[in-house]
Amino acid sequence: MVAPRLVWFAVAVGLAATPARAAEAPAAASFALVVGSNAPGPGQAQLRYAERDAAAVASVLRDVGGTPAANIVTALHPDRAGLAAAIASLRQRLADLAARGQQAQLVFYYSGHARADALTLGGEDVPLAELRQQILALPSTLTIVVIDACQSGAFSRIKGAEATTDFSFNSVARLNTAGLAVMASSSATELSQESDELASSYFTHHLLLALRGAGDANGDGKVSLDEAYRYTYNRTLAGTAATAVGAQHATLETELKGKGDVVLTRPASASSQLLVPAPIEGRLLIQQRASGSVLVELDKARGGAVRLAMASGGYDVVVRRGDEIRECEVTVPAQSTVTFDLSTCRPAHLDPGAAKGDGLPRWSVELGFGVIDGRRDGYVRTMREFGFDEYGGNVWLGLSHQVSLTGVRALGRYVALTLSLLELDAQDHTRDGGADPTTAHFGWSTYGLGAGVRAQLPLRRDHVIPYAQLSAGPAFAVTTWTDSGGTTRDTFFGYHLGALAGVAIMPRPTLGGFAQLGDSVAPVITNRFGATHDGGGRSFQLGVRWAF
Amino acid sequence: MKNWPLFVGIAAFALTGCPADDDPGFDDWCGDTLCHWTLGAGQIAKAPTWNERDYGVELVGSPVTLSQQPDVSSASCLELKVIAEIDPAAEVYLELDFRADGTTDYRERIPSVDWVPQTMLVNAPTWYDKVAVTISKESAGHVVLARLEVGPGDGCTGEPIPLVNRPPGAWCEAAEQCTSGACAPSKVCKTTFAACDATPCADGTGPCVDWPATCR
Repeated sequence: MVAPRLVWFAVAVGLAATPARAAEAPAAASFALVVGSNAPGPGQAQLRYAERDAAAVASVLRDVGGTPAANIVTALHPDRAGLAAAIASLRQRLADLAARGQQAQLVFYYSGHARADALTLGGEDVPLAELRQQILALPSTLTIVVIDACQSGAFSRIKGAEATTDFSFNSVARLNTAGLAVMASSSATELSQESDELASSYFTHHLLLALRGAGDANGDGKVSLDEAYRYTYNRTLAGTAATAVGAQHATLETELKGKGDVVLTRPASASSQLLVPAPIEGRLLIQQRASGSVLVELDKARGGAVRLAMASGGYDVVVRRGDEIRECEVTVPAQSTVTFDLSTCRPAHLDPGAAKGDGLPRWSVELGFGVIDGRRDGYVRTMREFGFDEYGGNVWLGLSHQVSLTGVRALGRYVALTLSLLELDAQDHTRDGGADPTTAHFGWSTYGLGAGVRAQLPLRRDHVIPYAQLSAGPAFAVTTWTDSGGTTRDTFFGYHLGALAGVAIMPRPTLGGFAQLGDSVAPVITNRFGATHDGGGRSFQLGVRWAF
Repeated sequence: MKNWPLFVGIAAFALTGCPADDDPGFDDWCGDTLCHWTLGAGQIAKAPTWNERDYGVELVGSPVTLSQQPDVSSASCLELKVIAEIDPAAEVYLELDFRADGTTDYRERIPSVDWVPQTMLVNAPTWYDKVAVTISKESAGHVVLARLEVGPGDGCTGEPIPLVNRPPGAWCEAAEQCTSGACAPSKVCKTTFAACDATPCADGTGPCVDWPATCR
């Protein structure tokens, strides 16, 4: 599921007053201003991950970008004045450094909405020209501006530069530690997208991966601006090409002087790292175990090791090469480097029904068994008044059994239609005849055929699927009276409504189990006094689930 | 003396044995008559109640009387629960004859109802060995009875219904309650109480009633 979102990614490297021989100058102090806003302006949709992306960028800059936490200003959900205040706070600090003759590097990142020529901070617009003026006025030796917003081409138009739609390592020769560059994640006419599966925008997700080490193409332990862009451009394009919104092409423009790479991060110096050895090849999907979000989706070629800077913690890794899939659990301790060992992985089954962006089988069948707490309504009270016991027959501790058979047709990753055949209510009551030696039995079974809609949230690589469901449909019931005079059966027709919530546990993609709590009502059976029994009730079921 | 209902029950069991009949419903029919109720007068017919197969009895015309001896003989407070459909014009009475000696000791009109259970509490005599229940319809009107449950109740107020002509061995508070005119202390096990015509026990331990009591 994707949310349309125009995203730019612009990098501007401000011209230094004395850029020559900057590579030989003492190490510059690093600063960052990271801004994220999910808030929409008029006519815009609420974003889901812009602020989360901004926070992630701040973390990467701190962890592997060499920017001290004290030098990172993070502004989430600011208004126009808040953004101006954040820029002003950095201006003074940078001015103090410049006064002492020290160099400074500044990264500015913004993720959120924008219009043609302005960022949108909630209900306020910040003109891009004004923003650019403020950014370039900052007294930094090297200023890196990241803007992740709508209508990315606008920033390039301001600069009068053409968007770069192709990129190669040859361009590295033009880079320097001082200069000016603009990189946009999409062209002026393209849309960008957020991805619920990635819990991020496509572009920022891949940019973060690149900065963590996946973009280190030459294996020198550092990720340059060139490497980050190349990795992000390709992955973003590949990831969005098949989406409904359409492909987005990252762009880059630079005005740099001097020699040397602009190094954005140094994954090799990170305290916690995951090293993917050179012999491993295939697609690696690394998910944070705690959140279930995809951290890395890496196409690894044999022959070169990849070092990924990661937060300490547990990760689930899926390695796919052709039709072969292996799953592993990796724990990255703090302050250490873990080498990924493919031999610790276990084989996993290929899901034949999975489609990109979906991941769940189209069809599944669920067979459930459980208990139901039937209602003690006026109908049942009348029976008791006429001498029948409250519990009897298949009623145990007030609960009777319930059986259901449900077919599920997934419409997408989060929505499915259901068709259920279920026993809504089954009770059997008896009445002692007193002096009459014959015991009277009266019972009923109520059945329903329900069509429903299910909302589901696949987690942990679709092994855990919580869901909620509403259903309705026809119902019928058969009552049976038995005493010394024989047996009489009556049939009733009506409807039923149901709601349930449960969770499916799928150790294998095609086979698993489920547990669910539900409530249903089926006002079907009536007596001669006009009382209606609301069949159904609160239920609990356990069952098996086949997916195909 | 809080154990007196126990002894009353023991006495009643000893004197009467199992009651003749007990069926709170009117659903058990033997042909055109009720199997467990005695039709004293009038006509009755089978009629459906909440379910087509759960029969009650329709009291046809007037007068109609139905009687039964339920399995109740020791409760000091009786609860009578009636489920019926009674037309407002119909006068239907519930009568109790303690000891089933032909004397009506309690009579109450059953209110007009439409299958809503009606409950009456009766402060029973301090002693009785059996009770006959009679339902009497004394005017025209539609009446269908579904159930009449007689059992121990709770919450009776006022004085117990007086009952005289008690036989030897029956619980008594005064001599005039006894047929013999004598009410004296008696003893069962280690408990002493008053009974009609108490006599010395065979072992000479004192006044005694020859009841099948088991002492512990």
